[in-house]
Amino acid sequence: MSRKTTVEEQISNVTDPRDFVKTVIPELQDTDTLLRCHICKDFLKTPVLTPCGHTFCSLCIREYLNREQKCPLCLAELRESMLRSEFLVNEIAASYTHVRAKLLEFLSLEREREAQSAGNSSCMVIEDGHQRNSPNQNGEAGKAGDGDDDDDEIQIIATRENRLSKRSGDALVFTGHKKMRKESPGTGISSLLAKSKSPVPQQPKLADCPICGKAFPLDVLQRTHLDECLTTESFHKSENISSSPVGPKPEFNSPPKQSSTRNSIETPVSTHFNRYSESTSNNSVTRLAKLNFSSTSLQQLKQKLSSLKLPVTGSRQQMINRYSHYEMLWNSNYIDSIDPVDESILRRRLASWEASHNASDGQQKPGGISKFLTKNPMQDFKTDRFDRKGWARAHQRAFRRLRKEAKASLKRSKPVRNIENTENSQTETSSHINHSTTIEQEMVPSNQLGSRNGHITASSQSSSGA
Amino acid sequence: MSRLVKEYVKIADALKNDPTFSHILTLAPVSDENLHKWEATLTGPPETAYNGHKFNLQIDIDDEYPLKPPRVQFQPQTAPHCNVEFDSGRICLDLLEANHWSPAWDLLHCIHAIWLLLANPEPDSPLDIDLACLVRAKDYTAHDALVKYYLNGGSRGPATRSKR
Repeated sequence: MSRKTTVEEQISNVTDPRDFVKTVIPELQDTDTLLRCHICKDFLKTPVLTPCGHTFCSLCIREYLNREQKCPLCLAELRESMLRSEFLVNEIAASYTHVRAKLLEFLSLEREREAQSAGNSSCMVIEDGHQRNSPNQNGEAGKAGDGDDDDDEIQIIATRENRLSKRSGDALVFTGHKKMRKESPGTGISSLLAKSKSPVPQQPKLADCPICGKAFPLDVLQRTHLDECLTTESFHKSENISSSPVGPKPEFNSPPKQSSTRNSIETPVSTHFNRYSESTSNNSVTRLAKLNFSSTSLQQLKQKLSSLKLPVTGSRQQMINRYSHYEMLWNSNYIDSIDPVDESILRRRLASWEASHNASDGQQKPGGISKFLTKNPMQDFKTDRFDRKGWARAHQRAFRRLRKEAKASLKRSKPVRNIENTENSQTETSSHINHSTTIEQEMVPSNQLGSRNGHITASSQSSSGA
Repeated sequence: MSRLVKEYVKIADALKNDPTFSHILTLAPVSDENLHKWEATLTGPPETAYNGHKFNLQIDIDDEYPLKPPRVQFQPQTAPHCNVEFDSGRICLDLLEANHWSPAWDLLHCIHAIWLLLANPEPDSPLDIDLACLVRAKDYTAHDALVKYYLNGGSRGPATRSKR
């Protein structure tokens, strides 16, 4: 692989908190930094919380804890069992990364506009033609010359946009909003209020108290008057207690309801919130234990690996590395993750990790990954670690057939033809039995194939002799 | 790997825009193709014997970074300092040792820490006995004079060669 292109490619893909410095809200770089893991410097993936209050990606911290058992930030003692998943941070980071690009684009666009409109009002220089902005620009310049006001509004809108687009991530938001803004500059504030979750409008709007019928500012009415009214009412008419809470309810509900219907247009789904609110800790799958490798025999290690459907190839150290990494992936996935993926995906991740980190001694390197993925059963074939019984069981049918053929051909007693024959049947039967073996066979060099067939014929002959 | 790319971008930006790192003249990979070998140039901290001199650092980063610290060395025989092995350029700094390293650090921190080390020699874990003795005896005049002598090309005889 050519490193150079990948590096350049990667650099162009890198996001940095300082991207926000040149936007309308440079403070966002703080947010951006906070949502990153201190180890990988990327946005938090499956974050976990340490007892000392720090948050890291589950995989990053687990990998580090395999070396040093302390918190990377405060150096306090830390063990893997102390980690707790943080679903909320997970969803915050995910929803943030989801809208980050749009947010950034919008904010830097806003900045350009701001700069342009400032230039417009102060020295009346005609902009050099930002096609996208110019209609807006002209409309605004004609309408309002007060640049200060305009600035403030942009600020408000931008922050609002931030919050809003976090939930939606929908291009509609921007255009819809811009239109709104063009129509009347006042809508900026009112829509902000409508959007705000609290049902308390700050405008001095009067409303009638549903109990006593007098007009009050909404604020006063909701905060204090209703309570007072209800309590005084309850003294006078006890039967009203039951009915009175029903009265004010529509009053309370209507503003948020309105905004929620409006939200539903702009924010079709709030998946991250749903995911968070429905999250439960996963108890169905058990934690994968750490092995004490020094007291584990090679056989036990292999058993452990094959019980997890992992390959048992390579040196002891490689197997240990494989187990450790898989244990990490497993625990991170099943213990920390908000929605765990399937084991097969974990195995694939392990395979790609192994390709780059757990390089073998060289002889097994070609085709390492694909061998891995097809769960190659022919590995270790020549060594005495090969699971002969298992192999025999798995290929019982093929062997029986081979035995029959061998017996038949033995009568003809032509050894050369014999081998040829079995070779054909071997490929044939194995394609029936195990697809992966066929793939494997295609990859095995012919000399190996020959030796394998030699072995099989030998074994079939010996068993036929028995 | 991807973390190094991120650091590369961050460092490029910080060196350009952040005045707190103005003493780091360069910090970049030796070549674009290999992000595992970096080079840095520091200016000597002001008000020290190192003022006005430039120091080159060689940085080797292995695959396990950031779980393992980067290996940082001065260019051999360029940095007389009580925590630097003059002949090899090896640096004794707790930050750069595996058991004190934290993956929360990055290259910029490392280089900054080395710059701070230049200004604050730590005689309790010396790699250069002579200079450490002078620091320990608080004879800063002699220490600075010796440092300047070496910096200006004064040769170290085999007798004064640093010991481990």
